[in-house]
Amino acid sequence: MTSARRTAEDIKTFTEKLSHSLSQIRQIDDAAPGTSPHETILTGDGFRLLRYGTDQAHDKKTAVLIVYALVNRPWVLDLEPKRSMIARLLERGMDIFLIEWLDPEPQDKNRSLSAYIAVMIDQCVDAVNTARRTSRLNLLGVCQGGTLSLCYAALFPKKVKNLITMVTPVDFQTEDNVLSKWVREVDLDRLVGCYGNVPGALLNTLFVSLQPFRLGSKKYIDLIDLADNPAGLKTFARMEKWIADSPDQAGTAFNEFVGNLYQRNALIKDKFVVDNQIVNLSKIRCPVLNIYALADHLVPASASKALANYVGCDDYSELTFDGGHIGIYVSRQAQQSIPASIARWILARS
Amino acid sequence: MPHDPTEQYQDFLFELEKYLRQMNDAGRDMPAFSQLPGWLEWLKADNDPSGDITSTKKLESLKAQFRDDPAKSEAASRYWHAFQALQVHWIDISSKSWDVARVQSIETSSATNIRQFYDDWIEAGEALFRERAVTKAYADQVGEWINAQVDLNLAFGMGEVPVCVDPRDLKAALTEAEAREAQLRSELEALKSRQKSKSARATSQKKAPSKAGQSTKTKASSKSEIALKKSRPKS
Repeated sequence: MTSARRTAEDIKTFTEKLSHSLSQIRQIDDAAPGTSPHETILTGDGFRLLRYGTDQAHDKKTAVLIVYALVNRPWVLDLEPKRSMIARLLERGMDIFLIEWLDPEPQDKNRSLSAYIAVMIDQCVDAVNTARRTSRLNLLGVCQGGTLSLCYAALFPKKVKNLITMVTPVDFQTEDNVLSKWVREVDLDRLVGCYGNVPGALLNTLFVSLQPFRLGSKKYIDLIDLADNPAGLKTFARMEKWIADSPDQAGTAFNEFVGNLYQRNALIKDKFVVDNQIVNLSKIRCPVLNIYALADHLVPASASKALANYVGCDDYSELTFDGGHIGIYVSRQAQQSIPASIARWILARS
Repeated sequence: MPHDPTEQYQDFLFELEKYLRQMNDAGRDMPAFSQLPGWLEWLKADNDPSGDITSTKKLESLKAQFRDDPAKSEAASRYWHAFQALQVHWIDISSKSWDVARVQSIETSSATNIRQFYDDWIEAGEALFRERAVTKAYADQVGEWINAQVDLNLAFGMGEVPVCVDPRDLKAALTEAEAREAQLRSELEALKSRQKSKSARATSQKKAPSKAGQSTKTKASSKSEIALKKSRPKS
């Protein structure tokens, strides 16, 4: 066989395998993520508070309130039974609550970060404490939700018993923070003026563009390896569904978050004002567990590690994960280690 | 001349990437927002030299289209320039990554396996992109691309041009002022509560002078606690 013919054969085989995988993935009709049973215990303006688990003996367990990011959906923490940080925490005796942010309507474009932090998170904290008959709780902030949780813990220190931050940006202008460099010159007033609520699709495009070769192409080609692996293809389909489902962002809150944090790095300069108060991270005196991923392309480890220099607590710990921003939620390795470490850390301080 | 399989790969990958992009675009709701340029621009340029993507033909036709509306014409021109500037980066990144993958495939004889070649190309591309993405030139260009797209939308009547767009330094000053105001407010609150407890203590001292020693002791103990916390070594 000539070399050219061999190459043509190789390409043909490659195409056939890819077509086979793609045809299989098209047949997956139910790729809805979110599998752990839960109930809504509070609905407010812009959020729903969910409580996970079916165990009637909730109150004997240790409560954790998860604050997820405003960008993307929290279902990545409960993607499917074997890839669910929430399920793993439930298995370890935690009573899990989660704030599900509702999509902002056009009339919500002026909703501020103060509303998210000092009103909505505070209402959820109070609701959990009421349900549990406690005065303080364990707060677990994920990604941008970690930044919101830090602000909350600094403003309401008496209501937070232990704080866990996961892949959370604190110093928004470290040298390797690509996203931060890209948005430094964006005219946020005009952006918000144009769109009102900022389209999730814009954010999605930027996120995918941070690793354009891998996220735009390779992951689809790697589907070849998942041919005739229905479970693997279903996980892939769920992840795709989650990635594409980016909610719009309330205009004012987006302007404040990107402007004050990404463009002016105000949080670590003690110049970030929420609810007319400066967010002073040194006011966080409760134990803090800071979890970050070493290969995070979205929130570089350097952005999270900075927290050690600003919190005012004596009991500060770090947990590193050898993986990326998404792997820390869903990878097998993360499933085995992260929830167990979180549960151990909390139980040691309960 | 020996056969170079990567020439066949390039044609194949062009079709493949076009397909993947179509598949992605079909599944996404992207109102009034276009995608960032990527390596497809390079594949396009290489596969269709007659439709040189960096040519000014499209720009000229845009200008002609909005001749009677300077705002639209200017916004379209700005967007076209911003998009082109990113395309130039991408043509460079893609072509360099292709060269790296080709050299590597010759060295490791992996060019006869398209999957291996593809993986090498992706790895080279991602590495080159990482280097480029953090440079000020590229970052500013992404910012300009977003700003230009917003301007284009505004020129075509989407949303509202903000009444007042604060300049960057004014915004920074505003952040500082807000922080200062919040700081002053919290100091005022602290002073007020100190004053309140002072007067309360004075009243209680008048009523029960024997308790003064106890109050001093409590204060001293809380001070030493603060000193201990501040001495915590930072990692």
